[in-house]
Amino acid sequence: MTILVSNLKSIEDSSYDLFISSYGYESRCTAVVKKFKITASKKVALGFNFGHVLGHAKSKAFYKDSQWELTELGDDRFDAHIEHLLTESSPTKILIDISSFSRLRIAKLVWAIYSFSKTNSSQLEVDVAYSVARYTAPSSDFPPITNVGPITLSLAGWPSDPSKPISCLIGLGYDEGRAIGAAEYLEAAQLWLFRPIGFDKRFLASLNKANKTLIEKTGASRVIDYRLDDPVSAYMQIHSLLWGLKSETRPLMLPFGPKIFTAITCAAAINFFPDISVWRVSSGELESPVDRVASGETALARFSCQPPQSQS
Amino acid sequence: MTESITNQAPSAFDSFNARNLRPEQVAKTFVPSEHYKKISKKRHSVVLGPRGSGKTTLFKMLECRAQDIWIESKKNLTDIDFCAVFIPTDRLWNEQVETLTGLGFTSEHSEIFTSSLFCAQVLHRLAECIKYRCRESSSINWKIEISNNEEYELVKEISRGWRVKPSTYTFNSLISELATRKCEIPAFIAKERVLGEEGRVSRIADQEFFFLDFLKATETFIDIVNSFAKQDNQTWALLFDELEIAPAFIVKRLMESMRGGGDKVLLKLSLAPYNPNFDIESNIFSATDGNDFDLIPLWSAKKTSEARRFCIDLLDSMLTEKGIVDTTAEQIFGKSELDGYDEILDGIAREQDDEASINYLAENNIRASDLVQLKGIKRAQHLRKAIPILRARYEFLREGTDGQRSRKSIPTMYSGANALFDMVEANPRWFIGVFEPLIAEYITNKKSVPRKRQVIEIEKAAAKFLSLLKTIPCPIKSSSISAVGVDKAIDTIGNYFKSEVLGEKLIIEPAGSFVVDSDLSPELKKSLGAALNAGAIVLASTLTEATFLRSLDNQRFRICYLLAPKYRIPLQLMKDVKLKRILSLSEASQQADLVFG
Repeated sequence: MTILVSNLKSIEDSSYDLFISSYGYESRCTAVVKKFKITASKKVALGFNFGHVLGHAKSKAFYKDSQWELTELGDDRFDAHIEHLLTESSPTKILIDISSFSRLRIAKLVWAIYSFSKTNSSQLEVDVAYSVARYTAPSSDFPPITNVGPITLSLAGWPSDPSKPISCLIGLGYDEGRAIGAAEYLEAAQLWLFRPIGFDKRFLASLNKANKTLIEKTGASRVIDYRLDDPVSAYMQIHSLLWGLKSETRPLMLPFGPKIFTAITCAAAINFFPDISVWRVSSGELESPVDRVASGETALARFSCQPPQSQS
Repeated sequence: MTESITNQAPSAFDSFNARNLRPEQVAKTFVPSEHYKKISKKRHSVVLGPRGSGKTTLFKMLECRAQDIWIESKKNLTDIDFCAVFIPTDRLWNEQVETLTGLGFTSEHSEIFTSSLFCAQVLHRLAECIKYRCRESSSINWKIEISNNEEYELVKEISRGWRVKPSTYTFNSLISELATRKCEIPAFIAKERVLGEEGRVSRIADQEFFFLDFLKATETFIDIVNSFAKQDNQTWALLFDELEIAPAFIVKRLMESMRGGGDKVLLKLSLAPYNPNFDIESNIFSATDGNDFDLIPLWSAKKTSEARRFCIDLLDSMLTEKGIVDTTAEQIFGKSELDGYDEILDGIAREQDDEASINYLAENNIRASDLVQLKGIKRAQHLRKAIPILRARYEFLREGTDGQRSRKSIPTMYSGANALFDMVEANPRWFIGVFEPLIAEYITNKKSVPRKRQVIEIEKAAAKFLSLLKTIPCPIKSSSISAVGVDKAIDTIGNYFKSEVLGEKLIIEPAGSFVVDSDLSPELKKSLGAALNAGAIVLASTLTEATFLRSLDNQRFRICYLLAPKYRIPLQLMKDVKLKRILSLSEASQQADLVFG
């Protein structure tokens, strides 16, 4: 079973067997639902068991009033809940709004969908929507990092030869020092940086400033720009790089930046399972809540889980 | 994929990490140190050092491949009379092993799986080494002359001992079979997770290689090879790198083996200084430093002539590589301001900005205007301790043109050859990171590197290092989720030292090192331990077995000199203060919370 990634122009007037969204303290968690006219047999909004601040109450009320099925749960119960949802609804077409899911949950979702499709030998079409946030200046003071390691157990990759160097594919975000700190921490032999080109130029300016040293040291030839409205190009670049790197190095991906990149990264890692690792750098529950407001722009991608022979 | 992608040549970013270099590449630029002489001895060794301190470089230099390059280049190097095999590991590999073997298995099964993965790694490296010695090396030290028939017999014997079945009895086939085993073990474990517990014991028991002990298998290998090569006395060494992140039971096995004193396999282990997670009974350390093994710490809290010599040699090596000869460090970077006090005294006397400094001199009956003329014992008596402090105050407390006290934008007291050497702490990775761009500038401009430019490069290196410190995961208190990252802990301590040096009152012997109180919270100690392993703080106490293993209690540390410009402190080991005092005076409530954790 492989995951094919393709671009998607719109999800307006689309219908699905299952629509999964999330709600939390970010205002943008309702943006996709409000923006597009979508029909779905089952609509589920998943909340967190912490961070009930800022826009949380309002978002929760919105989903409740819109007749969604609401579940608030911790990360430890998330896998089992998704598995239950998939088994219960046996979907063939799913929409997931990943805007306010954590990176951990996005990775768990992508893996769960892949596993479900593989176990049932069923083709599954999953549309992924990501509401791009309105620009806010990056914070200069981060909470302490509490976790640096595989994003999920499933995407840790299998141990191979530690004498092979590590090649690191980093999705850049605009938090100063995070990407270069992670690269130093991992002592990677090769770095490849993926720089998002979004709809608001201020993001790019902040991102370049935050990663100035890293970009300079890595060299322009290893900085790959990708457009938020063309995630399939990013996917193809990642896929091609992994293909070349995996024989001589141990590739590891670190998806900072827009969450659509995390979803793409996980799909790529699954397609090369078990050779690729996806890691995260996180402050967990120490992360200061920030109300990300929707900019109105939405990045879309389609993940199709298919048996390998149907790839052509 | 294009060649550029798979090209192993490191980029500028990683060129100073030996992990990513082949032994031959390491040998080409290697600069021997006193540490190298110690580790070259035919004895068990434990090498301790923070990130970048050169542990991997030292190990890779002991390998036959690296030694051959040295012999070829006729460089004078201590003779190695053991055959060394480097066993690498890293964070990624260990995380993957932990993830794969951890969840859903009993600790006994988890240990069997981990051990077999580790064993496969060791055997793979041994097989590569014997192939090199028989088929690639031309050195009289290492070359084993062997016919094809003998290769067949040798590989057959080794395969029997290791419970592997290569398709043919050749070195290549053996290596290939071991590579396959390294893939099969994870697949077996993953399959076990699906199959569940029922029948697991017998399925595991059916796999002979799960029960191979990596040291016993190594001994078997040595017996076979030495017998074939008619070198009964040939000693082999296994070099285990980065054991601080290896499973504790592996480290325990290795330490126990060193105590046993078997001389068939020499063990050389590299560890970070702080290892709190090793649950090893203290009696294991009847294997002691100087008796059963040599303990080789790669740092020094005080400035040493060895460290200075190493820096000079390393710089010479880098310059020679660029075709620059007969040029001294001082010609390129100038004299360190701290080497010659006259200018400092002259400045203080001339400008008389810092009232506290002037008062100090007056109290000691030294007129500021006479400072430069002050000679002999009196000068030494009064000024030896005071000079670095007065110098820092002179640098940072001078009045700006607007009459306000302001820092100079580029503090040049941190420039000059010896100051640069001190700030990189003889840490090869920091050294190369700082000096490489400065040498490039020297070559481009064909004149000495301006002092401001030197300090800018130090500040860049410090900024990158601080980013790393921010990324190191810190423990959180389970009760109140209060946490202090490694960077914040260092910041609190550094700012305290800054206030000691630059405070309103002149303190001739300010606090500039700290002692860890035993009743501080475990979370803070773990953060400090991570700082120690990263090189952000330097152990200033005498090294003991207890220190290098688990506890920081009552040990003395200083902040690394790379961060001295950030906190505006002199490059010297200063008086100590209890850490609890620093934290209790800190304004941040989080730190105060941790004090009493």
